[in-house]
Amino acid sequence: MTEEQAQARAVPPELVEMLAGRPQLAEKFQHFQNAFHEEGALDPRLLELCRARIDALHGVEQVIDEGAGSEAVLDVESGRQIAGGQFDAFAEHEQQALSLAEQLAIDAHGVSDQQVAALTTALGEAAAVSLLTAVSMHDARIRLQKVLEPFNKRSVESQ
Amino acid sequence: MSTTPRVKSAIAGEEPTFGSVLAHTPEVITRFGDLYSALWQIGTLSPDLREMTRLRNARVTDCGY
Repeated sequence: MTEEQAQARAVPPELVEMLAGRPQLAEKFQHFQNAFHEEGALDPRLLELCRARIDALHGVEQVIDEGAGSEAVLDVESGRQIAGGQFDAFAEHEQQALSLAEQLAIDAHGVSDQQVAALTTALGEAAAVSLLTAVSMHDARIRLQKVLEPFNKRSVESQ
Repeated sequence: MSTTPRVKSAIAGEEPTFGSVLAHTPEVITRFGDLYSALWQIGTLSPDLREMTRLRNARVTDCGY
């Protein structure tokens, strides 16, 4: 998956379609999601790793382009490991981010002071805040998509 | 969940709050505010219904709102 594909996945066409009744909201959501890339504080690979783990926890199918080559943000094998909850092969800061993202999606109350401190030490405050915000919003977006999907499909079928 | 601030405020002289911590990423917080305003202020739902659901959500998730 390339950085461009990862960005497109942050606001997929399905979500835009679901928010078609509120185009202004869809536009602002897109603008907000782009901020993580444009501000530049956050490593796109790290964000994609965390998004992929949250997707796996919510049962969302991952789309990884095997032909992405050197531009790949996330390779197929990494995607498989993340889907299976295997973080051993990743760098220490990536493991910290993945564990925190996982806990946040399962139960935000379970995120510990130590987890946040480790992430902040590894990334710096700006990147840590950026990652936590992006991961929280991704989790919320997937939950929204899960809730709206059946209605959206019904709506499309009835047209 | 911990009640100890986990990240320092990015605004000199201000306590660490949701806003002052998010200020570490100025572009993100600006656009988040824009999105959040649109989410809560524009739409067809009545303000009473929106507030009721927001309060219920806060209680269920043990948020201090």
